[in-house]
Amino acid sequence: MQLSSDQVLALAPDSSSAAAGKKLANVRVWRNLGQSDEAAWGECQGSALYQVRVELATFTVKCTCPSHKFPCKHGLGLLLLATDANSVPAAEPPDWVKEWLSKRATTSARKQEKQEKQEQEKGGKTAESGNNLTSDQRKRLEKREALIARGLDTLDLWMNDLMRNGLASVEAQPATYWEHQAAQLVDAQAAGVAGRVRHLAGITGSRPDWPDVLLGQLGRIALLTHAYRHSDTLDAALREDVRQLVGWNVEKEDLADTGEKVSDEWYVLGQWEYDDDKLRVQKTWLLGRESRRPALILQFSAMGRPYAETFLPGTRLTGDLYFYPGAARLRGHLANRQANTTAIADMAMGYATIEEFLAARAELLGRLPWQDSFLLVLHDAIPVCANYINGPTAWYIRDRTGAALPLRVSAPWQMLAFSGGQPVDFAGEWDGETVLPLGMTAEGIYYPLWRVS
Amino acid sequence: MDPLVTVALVGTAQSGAIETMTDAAPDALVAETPADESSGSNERRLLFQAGVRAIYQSAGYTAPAIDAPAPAETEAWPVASPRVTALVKLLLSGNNEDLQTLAFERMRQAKLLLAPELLPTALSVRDQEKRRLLYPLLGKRGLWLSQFNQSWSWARETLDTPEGALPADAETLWQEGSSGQRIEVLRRLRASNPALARQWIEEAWKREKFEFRVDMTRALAINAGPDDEALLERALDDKAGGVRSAAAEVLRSMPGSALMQRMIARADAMLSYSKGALKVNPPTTIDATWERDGFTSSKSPSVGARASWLYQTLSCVPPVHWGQQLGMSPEQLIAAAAETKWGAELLQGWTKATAQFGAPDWVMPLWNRWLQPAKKGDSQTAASEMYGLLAPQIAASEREAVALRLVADPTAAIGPRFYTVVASLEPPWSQQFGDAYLRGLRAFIAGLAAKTTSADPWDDTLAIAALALPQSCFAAALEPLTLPEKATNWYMQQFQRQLDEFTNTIQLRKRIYEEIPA
Repeated sequence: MQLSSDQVLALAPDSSSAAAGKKLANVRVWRNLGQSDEAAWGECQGSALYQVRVELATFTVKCTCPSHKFPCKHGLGLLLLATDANSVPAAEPPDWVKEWLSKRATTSARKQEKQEKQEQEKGGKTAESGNNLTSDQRKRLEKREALIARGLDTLDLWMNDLMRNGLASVEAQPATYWEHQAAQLVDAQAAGVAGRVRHLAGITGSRPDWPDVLLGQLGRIALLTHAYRHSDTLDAALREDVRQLVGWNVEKEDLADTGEKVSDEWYVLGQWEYDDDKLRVQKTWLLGRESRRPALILQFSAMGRPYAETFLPGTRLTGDLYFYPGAARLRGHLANRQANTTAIADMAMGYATIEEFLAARAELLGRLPWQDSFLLVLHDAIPVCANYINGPTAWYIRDRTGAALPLRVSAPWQMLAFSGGQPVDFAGEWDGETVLPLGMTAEGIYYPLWRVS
Repeated sequence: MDPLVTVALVGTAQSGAIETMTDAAPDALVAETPADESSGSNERRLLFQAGVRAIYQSAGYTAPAIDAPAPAETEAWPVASPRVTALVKLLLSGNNEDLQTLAFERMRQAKLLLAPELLPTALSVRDQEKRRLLYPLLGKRGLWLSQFNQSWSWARETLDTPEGALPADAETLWQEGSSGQRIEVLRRLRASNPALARQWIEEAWKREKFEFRVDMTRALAINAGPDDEALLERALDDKAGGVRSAAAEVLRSMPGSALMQRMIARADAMLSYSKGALKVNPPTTIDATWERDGFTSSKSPSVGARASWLYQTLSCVPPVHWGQQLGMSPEQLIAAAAETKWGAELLQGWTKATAQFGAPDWVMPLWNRWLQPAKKGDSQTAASEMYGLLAPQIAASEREAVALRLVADPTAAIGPRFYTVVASLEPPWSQQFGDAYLRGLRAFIAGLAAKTTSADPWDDTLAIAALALPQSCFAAALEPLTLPEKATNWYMQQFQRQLDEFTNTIQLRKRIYEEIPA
């Protein structure tokens, strides 16, 4: 298994699990350790003897311990050990591992069968056709449409008031001023717009040009509510986007019907997390090796529960990516995934210049003007620490032509150490103003950059 | 400020109707938006214009051009393997300095560099000794990285020549370098050309701050000789106390110095032998000339001023002087001292002087004296301290014999503490002593009872043993060390934690030896 211990520790649900996992990465507390192409396993002596196994394609851990954390410390300990072939030798899986693997294979085959069946039944159906809806479902749908429409009307009135009274008056407002408005939109089931309003609270007073930025964001929200109200005039793909941006969900199960399917080898280039209201959101960026298509996997977790799937930055996965319907086609869901045990060694399929990236991004904005984040993958780029003599230091990622984009990090020293001033391959998320570094490859090794300073 | 933002800040209620933007394309886009009841208002139009403009600006972003600094040079040594990197990362996150030293030294011997991911942590180390050990492992990449962070400048200021060698630009560094560089250059010059180094000090003396004068004075201890005396005597009159005591310390260790002659004269006035008895008469007051020579008043309430002056004087006089002055052997003097009320100060002063100046005749008699069980008025602390001072002059086999006797029977009546005796053995221990130590420890653990509330004296020595046991004892040391089930009180839980730490340290040492080939 070609993984670094940092990559394994990134799977830990919290720091105490990571610390406990590190302690258990000691062959003395294990017996019957082994690994194959598919799995790693071992028995760990804790309060009892626990049987621990990990499916390497998905990093799914199964342990007989009673912990509610996922993965548990035993799973982390086993994965840490498995990064070293000397500690966990290649072996034939014992029966208890074989049985588990075959059970998982059966479940996954069943899922795939279902998905294929759905695909076969696809013809002619669209997300909004609603042809197969029961009358109860139709009523619920109409009720929600009305609720959202009222919520957006109220929001428009509020924004008009803001414009009438002037933005100067909001500088002194507490965060609850925006929160209150966002909560009303949540009640109106327009969670997407609610998130955009909640985001406004962080802009006021945060920088010298905050009125400009705030006005721009309010304007984009106004355009969104306007587009939603007139969605019948939009083309079908943009209409899908606008409805999802407002708060309508497309179920993962429906993606086989409505989404575009791209089969490829996907590079897991980077991942980061943030809190949105009561949810923890995880954004994972993938890039198709052949298709060169970027894909964003969004996962949500409430109250510290684990995410449904594990994506380990620096790894490669083969599978079918179902893109959510829309004009941008960035967000997706990966099905039929199979791990490729070779780690990412470069990102040669990335952009050669920042200019190319910005042109592609402008084209995407033309298709979906509300798109906020973009995957930036640069081949042969140099992380630069500028102004280090006179300060304050500023950080950039610079391409081979000398063009550079500013980084959204305080002191990414390790990034500089990994590169040593030499060109590297770089992945980050561009938000229109700055890049959040997510991962890089230098001299054939992938380094995760989020949380690294 | 953009007119659109001005209108938005003031509010449409006050600014009235808004002008259209000058950018033709965004204007056209706004004009294209389908009209409805709400879109005709001034406020709505302002929002649409702002939204379109924001998207337009975002799509038209152009990246600035910047310069990139020259890259790091190619390394001369290879970078450590991922396994070694994981081990060093673990050591750097802990606080066991001895293990860190062991690993860093072995990496240097194996000519291995720190992996780039560890460089920021290594450069952020503040401890001077740790920096000295880490410097050779930073490589070109580490030095390159250090230019970007002011608090890492120490790496660039460290002298780039092998330890002890004088750099080619020594004089420039002395004139223009950082204080750390200047002192290092001075110390190296002092080793090869003491006269020139002294000349540098004399030229710089007046313009340097007192901290630097202290460092320069201390550098004079390297190759100190009669030619330095005048400068050191002047330093005894320096206005800074730190400089005066540093100068006194150098002069005290310099046989034949005027200061030492003054000390001998003071000692002779305190000590005489007549009618078969040693007469001891420390002064009741001292004058400014004594203070100038570095005498201090006792800070301990249990040691009187006279006792303290006696001890300070004797510790500056080479012991060989007493044979000539009083015509007695060390054994006779030690026996006679016990008959006086100043016995403790006399013995400690002679011991300190023996440790400082070396005196073959005195070493064994003093050693045997401190080994004796504590007598009335003896302090175990003093016996331990003196034993420790003499240890470097005693053959390793002698010290090991004492230690073997103690681990077999820790209750044996002896002057110094168990800890001091064990600590006086240089690491790594011999296999014979390592085995004996582990046997003793296991016997002690096996004998613990439910009511035992002390792990003395074993608990104190576990940390030393973990670092000193030879590799050949690792397997035996790593056999589980578990207390009997009945020993569960708080004290025993503490002891179990110390035993776990002992095991952990041995495991880490084992990994260091296995993974970093020296």
